[in-house]
Amino acid sequence: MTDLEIISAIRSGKRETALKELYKEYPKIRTNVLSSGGDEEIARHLFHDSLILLVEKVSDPDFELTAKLTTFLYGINRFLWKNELRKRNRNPELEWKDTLILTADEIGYDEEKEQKMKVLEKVLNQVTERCKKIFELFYFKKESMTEIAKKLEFSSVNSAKTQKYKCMEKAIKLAKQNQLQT
Amino acid sequence: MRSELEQLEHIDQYLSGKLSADQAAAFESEMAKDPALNSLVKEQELLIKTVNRKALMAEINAVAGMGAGATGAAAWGITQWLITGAVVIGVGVTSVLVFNAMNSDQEEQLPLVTEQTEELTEEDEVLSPKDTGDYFAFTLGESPIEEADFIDEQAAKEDANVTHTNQNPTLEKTDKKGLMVPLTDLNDIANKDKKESDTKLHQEKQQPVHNVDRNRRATFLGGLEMMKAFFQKELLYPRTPKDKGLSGTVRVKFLVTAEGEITELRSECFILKDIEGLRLSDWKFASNGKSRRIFEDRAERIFRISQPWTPATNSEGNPVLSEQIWYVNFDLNGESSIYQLEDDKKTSYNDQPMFIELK
Repeated sequence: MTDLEIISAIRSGKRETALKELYKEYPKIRTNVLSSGGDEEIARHLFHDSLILLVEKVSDPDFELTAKLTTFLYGINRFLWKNELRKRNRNPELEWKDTLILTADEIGYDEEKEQKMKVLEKVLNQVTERCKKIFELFYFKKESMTEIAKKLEFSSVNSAKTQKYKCMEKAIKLAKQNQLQT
Repeated sequence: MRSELEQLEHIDQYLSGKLSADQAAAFESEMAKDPALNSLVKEQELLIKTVNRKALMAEINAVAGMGAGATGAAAWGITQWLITGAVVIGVGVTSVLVFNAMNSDQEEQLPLVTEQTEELTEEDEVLSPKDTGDYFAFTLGESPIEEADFIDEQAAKEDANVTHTNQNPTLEKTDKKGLMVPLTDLNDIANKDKKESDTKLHQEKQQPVHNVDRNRRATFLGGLEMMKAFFQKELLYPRTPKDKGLSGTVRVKFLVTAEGEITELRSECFILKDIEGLRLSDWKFASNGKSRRIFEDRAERIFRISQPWTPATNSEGNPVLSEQIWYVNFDLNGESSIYQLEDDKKTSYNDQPMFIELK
């Protein structure tokens, strides 16, 4: 697949093919991480996080490709690895081949937001299965409320909509509680 | 809809770009004036982002879990990431429980367990949709072996609670090799061994990161995708409960031998729900024993015929005996799934439910 094909696959919701293609880069990234003091677990974890950031970035309609997509992916991975090493009070020079040096801004990485999202991930484990399902179908799968109402057997589209916002309200409330605790 | 909900809808439309340019501009000036609204918008935006991230992570894990051979350790994860403090507390909790389990007799042990259950259940009622409360209650009535397991689960749960606030849930698939039961015969000695190795494991987690450990969970031969396909093909919704309008959740425990054979299958149907998805009362639950057994048989059978599995491996990469806990959810409203719980994470390699359509 070419870079443009990957990008259009991601944008049109055919993420799986794109992810499979990008996953072929894992061995190289793994080697890079392992050679600078990381282990398999960290390598895999960082790689998955990099994929998420890449997909988020690419999904942004304003995204313009300025380098090879894989180079960009390596750049994100390098950034995350450095960030992780810094947390462990180590700061080695990472010399990776074919890698962009990217800043947090360029990647769209914001430590404060990441922390908040960790809380929200926890919150999402606390709402009901039905809420989770509505969120996932609507925001991730981009299904219409009509389809969702049918699929989840709501009596009407309106009651599905109301349920969705009730779920949202609940989640935001839980998030507030959680943030107070931490 | 209530006005609060309408506000959320309005924000939703703004975030998804469904408002016209004029409307959006008006909304933005409103936001500039109202800090509360502004922070609500930010919160909602992040929540949506998190929903998408979670779903995306599940897709990535599915892709990673595909070629079990090629991607190797894909689907499991040691939490090297664990903040040392959390580990230390984890070790502490485990040691206390191990100590209690080893030194006190049954009478002393039980009150300890009950106390903790109450505490957890209370929390669960407010926060968690999972039926952990019932699940624990059920386990309590079991044989001594079960109780020992239960304490372990408590420890794991404590551990999870401790780590939860600090890190990303995807990282929490702690690798607890201690749970690879050393003997097929689950006697007390085996349980003791198990706990000791569990404690050891906690200590190991603090080792430096460049240690490449090769131990991994037992997996369905061919990985998660194959597992889902197999369940999709083989699992049927049983007639009797279907006619009665019952949904049920079954917990299935089994051992995977070093040869990949499934043994010691045990199952408990611990939740029944009616057609509206509401939990049956205790009395009704008790009187539907037949449906429960049918669900249990179905769930057990599917695992029995699914062998051989890819056995778990120890740190040297040699196949060893291990335990697996799965939940099979028969859902009349079309949301049947198989999944594993974080509480059982010591045996799990996947925490995303796999939804299956049952005929």
